[in-house]
Amino acid sequence: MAKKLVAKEQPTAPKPVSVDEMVGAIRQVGDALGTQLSLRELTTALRKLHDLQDVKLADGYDAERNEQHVACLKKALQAAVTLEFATIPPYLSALWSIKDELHPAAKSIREVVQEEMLHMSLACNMLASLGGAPQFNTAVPQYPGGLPGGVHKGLTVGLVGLSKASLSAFLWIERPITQVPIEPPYAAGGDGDARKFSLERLASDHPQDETIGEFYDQIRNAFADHIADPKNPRLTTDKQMTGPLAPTVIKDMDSVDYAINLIQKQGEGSRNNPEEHKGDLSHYYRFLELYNEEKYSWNSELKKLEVVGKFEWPDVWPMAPVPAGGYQKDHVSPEVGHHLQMFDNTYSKLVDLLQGAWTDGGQNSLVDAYGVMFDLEWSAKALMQTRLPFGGGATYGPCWRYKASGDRSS
Amino acid sequence: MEKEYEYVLVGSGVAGSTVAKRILEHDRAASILILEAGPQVAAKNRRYWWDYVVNANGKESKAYDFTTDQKGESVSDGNTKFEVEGSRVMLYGGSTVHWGGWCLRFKPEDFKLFSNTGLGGDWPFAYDELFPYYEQAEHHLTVCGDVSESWNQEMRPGVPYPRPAFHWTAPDGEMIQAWLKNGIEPGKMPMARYRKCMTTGTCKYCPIGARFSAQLILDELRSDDRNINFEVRTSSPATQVLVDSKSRIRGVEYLDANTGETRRVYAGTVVVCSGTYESPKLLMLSKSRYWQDGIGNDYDLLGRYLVSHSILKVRGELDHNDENWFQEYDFPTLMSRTYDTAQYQAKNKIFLFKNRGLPNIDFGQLMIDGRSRAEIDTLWRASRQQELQAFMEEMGRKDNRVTLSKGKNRFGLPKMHIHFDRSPEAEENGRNWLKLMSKVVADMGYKIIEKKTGIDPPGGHHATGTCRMGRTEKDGVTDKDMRVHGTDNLYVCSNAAFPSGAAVNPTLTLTAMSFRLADHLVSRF
Repeated sequence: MAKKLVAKEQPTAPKPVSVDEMVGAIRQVGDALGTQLSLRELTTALRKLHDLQDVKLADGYDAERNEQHVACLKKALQAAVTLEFATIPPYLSALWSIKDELHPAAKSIREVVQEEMLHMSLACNMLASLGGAPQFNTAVPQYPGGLPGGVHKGLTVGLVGLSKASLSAFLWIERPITQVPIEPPYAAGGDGDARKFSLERLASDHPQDETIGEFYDQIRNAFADHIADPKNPRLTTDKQMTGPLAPTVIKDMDSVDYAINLIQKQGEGSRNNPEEHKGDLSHYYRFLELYNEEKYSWNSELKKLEVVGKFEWPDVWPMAPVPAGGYQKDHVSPEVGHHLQMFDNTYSKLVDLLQGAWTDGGQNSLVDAYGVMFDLEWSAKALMQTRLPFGGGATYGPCWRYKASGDRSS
Repeated sequence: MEKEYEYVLVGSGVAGSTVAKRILEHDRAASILILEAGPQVAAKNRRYWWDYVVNANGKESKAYDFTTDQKGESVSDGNTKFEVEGSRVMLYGGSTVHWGGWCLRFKPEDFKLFSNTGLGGDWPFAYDELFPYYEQAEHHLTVCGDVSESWNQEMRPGVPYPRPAFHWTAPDGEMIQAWLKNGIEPGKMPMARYRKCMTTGTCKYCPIGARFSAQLILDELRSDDRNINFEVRTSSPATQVLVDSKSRIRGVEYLDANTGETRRVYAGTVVVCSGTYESPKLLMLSKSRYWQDGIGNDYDLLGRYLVSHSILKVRGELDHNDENWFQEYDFPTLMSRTYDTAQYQAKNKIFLFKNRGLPNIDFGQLMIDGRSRAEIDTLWRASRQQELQAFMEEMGRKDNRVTLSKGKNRFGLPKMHIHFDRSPEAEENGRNWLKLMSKVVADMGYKIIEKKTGIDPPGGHHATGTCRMGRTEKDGVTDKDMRVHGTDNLYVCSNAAFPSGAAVNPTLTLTAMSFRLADHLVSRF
């Protein structure tokens, strides 16, 4: 079912602007496109274009507006692709550090990772529908670092084993605007149980923070504007991917709505419902369960999450935060060096295969990528079980470094 | 000075690759040469996989099918035909390239077959000796299984499987009900689930290497640049083991099948990992003044005590399939070891499992024939078949043997002659087992299809015994370390060394024995 456009608070009649103002606004966006845009800036630019959409211009400027618009939308989608991709290494580092892969915490995080891959594929399909080519090997995320596109400014994400600290970063990534009520309630910060996660505290510390959900809202609006204009070419399914991790092609507004609704619901849930579908909590609430060490069940009548039990904290390998640039082969034992190299080489092969999938490689590349992806776990776990020489018991971990194919022998 | 390798291994299957891997873990610089008679066929190749998917039941549908045993390459006589056709594949990676991946430990009683029954042979050690190696083998092959089963509680209490078992399918449930009625404990087939399975149903050529194949191990060993002296040579069938003196083995002579030239390689230790047929044949060919009838054959024991598994089958049909059941995986999920116990050992005990291929219907052909969805649905729901199967253990008999035949096969290896007689007792026991299995199928409410019920000829895939271990050279060809009696440095790492074949697939035990052998080899110096 198509979800209607998220209505922005717009005046019923479009705000009148002069032609000069219009041209200026468009040129500003165009100029800004040449520089590295933050997510906030992209979102703002998209909002601006949307606001200007109803103003009729003379010929020539319409064409330029359409070009700028689609260029901006493509940039936003590339940011979305990189953003979804960038969540996966930190989430997998946490997942693989859990010793018992059947532990409920492991199952929960694994489903999150699978869904992030799905979101990434949908974003790639959306970009391909506009004739764009998603970039992977030129946009490899660096750790520790901020998220791509300036998302959640102030947040630094690193590669480390599962801990409350890494979970609070994950909660921030997946945060909704507000959290649904939890029964029994715990007060934000201060008086309440200080061991519980407080979204209110996070929001008050970072009042300018935007959510990924809001960003996707703007993408939806931009798509709607693009499709509504008959002068724009139709969406193309030519280089889109289908399969277990990309179940829908993007061919019209209905499929855009479907994809974006899915991404939002699985990530943060919706405003009044923390479930992505019955019985399955969204990512934010899965991480919240683990952080707060309690199991939740959604009571759809009372519109509250009820605490139904304890969520046991799993036994983990104490993977230390990977230093910037990763561990260097010269400074570690030959055995560790071998595993580091195996991991980075396998990861690099995977990134190259993803690069190929939405361009010339097609389905072959994507299926090969699955096979390669499963190999990552072996070297990662071998590293996580090897102690650092002076780490006080902490262990190594995979560094997720990309190397171009010529550089992989050393 | 010719190069002398520390080890020459003849055969690149699960035995050779496991021995090589363990030796290299001890010493990355160890010089190891593996000689493989067959060619190499790439694994995880997208095109090969697609060809297989499109042509699944056709001849030569898998890229390596041309290396399978063909009709006419061996001859058998005796009261029971011994069927070698289709059992092995001869190529880089050996028969695990095409195997089913079922991984069960031999039972403790299997190591004392002769003591318990007066038939067959005893192993020169007990199950406990192999216990830690079985665990290593299960990790190496990444076996998924269920420890709560009673036979596991008995044999390996508290030892987890590396991965949890595959769940029973819906059609399994029907057979499980009948089993419970008959006091048969249902279990989950332990599989060599090497990597994450995506259930493509194309196990025989897995596109992502999820089912273990020795090829994957060899590829890893060769691409690991720490293994600086490790080499695999394909299309290199061994023709002779070379000796310096009675006890001192010098190396191996082989045919370079690409050029037709004969070559020699020299080694401090030679390990023959060529399987139950080729291992004794190679030793038989290795005649010299020190070993006039072939190495290890002074007491005419080479090639004898051949044993394999016969499959017992009972198929039934039901006149409806309302549930639209259909084969899911390319491996069975349901099995039982209720009759694989010491109690039944003297009666040719059996290992029960459900035929993985049923219920089934050839959708592809129906679509090619132009049938509509409604027509296919009607046919699909009209009936279904299920089949109960079992491996029956047989005991080694001296006259059941492999000998050389005239001429060579396509790989440059000698053709063979097999003599196999089934004892009247085994025949009778087989018939009794079939009666029991038929009752179970009837209890499922199925009508037995007599034409598809019976005992298949023993197949070449699970053959054991032809270089059996014995305490002395009069009892067997190899000793408790699988070293050929009378030699210092020649070993046979193969099912050929097993004094009993048990009722289950031998590969897990071979993998355990390979780890044990490798540890023995590196501990010598």
